[in-house]
Amino acid sequence: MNGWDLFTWFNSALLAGAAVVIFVLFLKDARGILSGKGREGDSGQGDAQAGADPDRS
Amino acid sequence: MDHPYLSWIDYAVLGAYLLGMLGVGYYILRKVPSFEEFLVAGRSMTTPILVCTLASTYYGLDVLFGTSEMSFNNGVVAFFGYSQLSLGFYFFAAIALSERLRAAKFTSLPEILERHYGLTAGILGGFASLFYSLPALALFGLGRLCEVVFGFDARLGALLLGGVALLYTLWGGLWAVAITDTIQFVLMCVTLAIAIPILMANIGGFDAVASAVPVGHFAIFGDMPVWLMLAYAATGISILVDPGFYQRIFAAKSARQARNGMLLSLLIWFAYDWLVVAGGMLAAAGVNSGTLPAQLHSNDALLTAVVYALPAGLAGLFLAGVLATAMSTIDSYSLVAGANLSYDLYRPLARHRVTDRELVRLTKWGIVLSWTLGYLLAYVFDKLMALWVFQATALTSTVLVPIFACLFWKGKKTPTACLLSFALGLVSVIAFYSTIKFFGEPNSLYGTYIWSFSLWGSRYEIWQEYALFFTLPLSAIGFLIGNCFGNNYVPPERGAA
Repeated sequence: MNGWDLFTWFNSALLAGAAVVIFVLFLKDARGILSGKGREGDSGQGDAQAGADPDRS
Repeated sequence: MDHPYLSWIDYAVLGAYLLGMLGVGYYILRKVPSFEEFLVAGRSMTTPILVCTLASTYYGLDVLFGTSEMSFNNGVVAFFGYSQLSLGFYFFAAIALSERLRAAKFTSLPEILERHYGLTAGILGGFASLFYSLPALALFGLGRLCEVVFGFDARLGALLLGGVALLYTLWGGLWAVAITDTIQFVLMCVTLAIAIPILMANIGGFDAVASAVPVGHFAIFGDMPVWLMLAYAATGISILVDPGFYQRIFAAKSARQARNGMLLSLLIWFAYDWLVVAGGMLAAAGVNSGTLPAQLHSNDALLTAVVYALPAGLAGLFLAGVLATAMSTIDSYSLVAGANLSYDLYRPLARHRVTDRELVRLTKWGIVLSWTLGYLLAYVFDKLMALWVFQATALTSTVLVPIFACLFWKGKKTPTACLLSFALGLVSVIAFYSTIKFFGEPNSLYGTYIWSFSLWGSRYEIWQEYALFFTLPLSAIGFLIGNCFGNNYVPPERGAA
């Protein structure tokens, strides 16, 4: 096994490992996100337009 | 649908994947009541979901097939000289942009221009972003994939599979895009990480590659001209004004989550790039040693080699990962383009206050329209990669300088500066491409146009890829000249106060 083989194995392990870990972390977050608990405190509905529409009261 | 290396199990896996994507979109349908939820996911995305959506959106079929084609033909230079150099810009985006963009609570890229330079600048930015975001290349790639893998008409394939991406985007907005991106991300990464070692074992590892390909395939920077390498690196600049990237930063729960998501994505892209390059080189060795068909096109090499190497079921999963690569790009940019039409172009020009509900409805119509435009463009232009490079160059040359002035320059910046920078950038892009097309010669080795000329006894070459070296400085000069005229933009209500 030469250096390029090792580099390929390393990157395979890195990619698969990172993907699985990130997916598990996503699943941990998912329930809160979908139920709306993850919203930031100071960003309500309609906030998206607030900055760009200065004429609105 | 009789591919020599695929079984019914593979097709069943693909069918399940497509149904799964539609199911996710339908589930999200009831959870996006407002425009902010629809477009920036309620600004509540955490690091894991940001990694998934960033990594899958920016790595489309162009990376999977373009980079592997380059490594098939040229070797490891595809990794060291082509794909990795541009990651420096991604690192800069993570460190320097995420906090500034997230702090100001923008909703779209053109809105940054609108807030700092006024309505006209915002509208121009909206058009530039819209043009860039039309998903023509990804739809074309999806169609081509259907042709190669399933054996049916490319246009029909793009219509059907691209239609799936369109449908779930319409149903769930950014949440549907991000959650399907997450599944697509896992498929993309895990299947490639499994496939390449199996392919490596089948071909005989890199010792077999070394005996089957030219020695130059292992030269770190190959024989690629330095200026071309710099030009490839410069393609990474487009992330600094990529509307899809901005949308994800705006959607992050905090600046820290955005920055961490971006940094982790860099790690994923590094590993993914190498595996794609390794796959291309292994495929080249497979062709030269007779393991794979001799007439295999370099563009299809990775796909054919991996499907050949994987057992039934896993091959289907890999193909689902490949479809995912294209669909995650189509959904993201259709959504951005739809919002450009509704939020950045219609809303500022409307004579009445646009309600949240109206914005969501108009964005959905915008998504359909931009998807349709992308589909039509995909089959009108015969050189689609050139169109994509033109789209990216046009956006970068027109909005990068004004946007960076907003984000990094506290001093005077006038609307005239923005408009002149935009105009000079756009004119120089059109002039550059027209000149190269008129005076240049096509180069089949690099798939580009090169204009060769002599000046004062020396020979010079200007490649099509060098566009940004000319257009970006001209855009900056336009900004500096324009900044001598007028004062800072004052939003209407501040002026009234």
